[in-house]
Amino acid sequence: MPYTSFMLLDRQKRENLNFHGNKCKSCGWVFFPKSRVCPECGAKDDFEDITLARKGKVFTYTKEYLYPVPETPMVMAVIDLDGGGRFFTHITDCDPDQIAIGMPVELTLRMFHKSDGFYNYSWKGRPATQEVCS
Amino acid sequence: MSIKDRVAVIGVGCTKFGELFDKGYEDLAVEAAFEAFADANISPEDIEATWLGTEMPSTGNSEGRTGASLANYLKLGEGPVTRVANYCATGTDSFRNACFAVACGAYKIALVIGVEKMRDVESRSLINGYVEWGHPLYGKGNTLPGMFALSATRYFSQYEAKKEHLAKIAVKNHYNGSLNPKAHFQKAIDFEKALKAPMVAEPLGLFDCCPTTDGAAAAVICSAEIAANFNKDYVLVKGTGLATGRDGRFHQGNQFAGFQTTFQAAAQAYKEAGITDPRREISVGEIHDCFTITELLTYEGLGFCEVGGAARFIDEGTNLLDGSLPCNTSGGLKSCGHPIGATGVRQIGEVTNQILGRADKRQVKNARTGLAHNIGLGVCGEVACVVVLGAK
Repeated sequence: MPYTSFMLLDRQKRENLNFHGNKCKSCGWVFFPKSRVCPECGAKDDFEDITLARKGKVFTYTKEYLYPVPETPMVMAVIDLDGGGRFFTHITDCDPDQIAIGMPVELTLRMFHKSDGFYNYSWKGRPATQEVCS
Repeated sequence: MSIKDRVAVIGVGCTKFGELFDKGYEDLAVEAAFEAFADANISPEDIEATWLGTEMPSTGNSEGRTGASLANYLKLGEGPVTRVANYCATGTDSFRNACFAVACGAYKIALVIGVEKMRDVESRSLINGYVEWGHPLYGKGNTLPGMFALSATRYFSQYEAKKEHLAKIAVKNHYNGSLNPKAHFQKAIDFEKALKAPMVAEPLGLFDCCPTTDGAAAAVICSAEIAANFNKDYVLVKGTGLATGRDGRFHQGNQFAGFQTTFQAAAQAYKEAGITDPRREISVGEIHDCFTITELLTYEGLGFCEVGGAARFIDEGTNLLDGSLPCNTSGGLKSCGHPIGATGVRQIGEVTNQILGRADKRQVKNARTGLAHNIGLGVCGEVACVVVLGAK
């Protein structure tokens, strides 16, 4: 059973459910997950809390055959979000042959797993189909 | 302060690597350490301080979590034992820290030992560790082969290399491993077998992945001033480098088509060693091939070829045992297996043996300078370590 922690899920609920990230007030760098020090310029605690775009493009990917899921391969992709920020997640609702670098994807809230009695939700990618409200 | 030529490696030891179901952590630690003591012509009581590399403690955290279990097994005296854990750079980083302590004069003689019982880790396997451990959401679904596969996909899209080049690395390392009696796999494979193996994490197939293995390796180091007192040949530490990268899977600065930490660690080590043209000055390289793509990208990171030039470097056979810059003469992680903390120390042993002319069927002609390289990746960052050794 995957590790989970109620306290961790509570601390990160705005990132994991509202898809919030940080925008650095000093250099403008947009990033996820939030951190106390800007990964780009080193500014500390000087960020705007922003809602990240739920659309982006595949930067790189792999198809996992060993991760224990009912259907393999499981597509994992690094996604560069429109407007900045990068997200690394599972691509769902996707024919594995379809995945390619540069492919437009949209993010959809899905349950990742239930463990220790908690439902763990976060964002998965899927091939872009239509306009997504943000 | 440079540590160049201040520290000598006077003895190395290594267990047989493999699925050693009938040997425990204690057996591995004792076998590797006492082989190194014998090679160095010293007694265990001569050791003043020890650095232990164990990445994943086993049996209820009692073994390898601290240095205490090692001190108990080896019956070490009052000297300190420091445990190091730094992803796959655990072994080389243990060595690096011990070198600093000896170079500054705090200790005259130190033991570096890496011990790992991968068959006894609590997650039961590394893949299962990625399922059960770690952040409950971020990167969930990714495995270690998958993490390196992300780099392969990106690199293949930018440069001319393809899966055939990975297969050539697998064939080379399996051949070299067939000459190494301590390797986990001692069997040569053919190109087609490597190329057509079942997929693990695309584009990496089964023969692109190293096994996880039990094993231990040790090195006895001393101040270069007293190295001649042990009545044996030795090598000198020329330089070390360690880089930790903040650019994980989520950072947009991460280009994936190479490992920045390898470039950085190599630059540190080369600067200290005074190496300006690694392609010509390095005679032999034990480099991290947890996956074949890792070795390919490392040729570029270590400056063995230019960025984007790895495919040509491979096609020209430069990296072969009889090439001009043999890489992974031991068979690498691909054939030796990867007991995480032991790997870097084993590599240092192989390079030492090459420079001293003791590498038997794997001996490279005129090996004067060699290096060991490790890299480890996690969801949140990466770490790489480089150690350069040379003839006295």
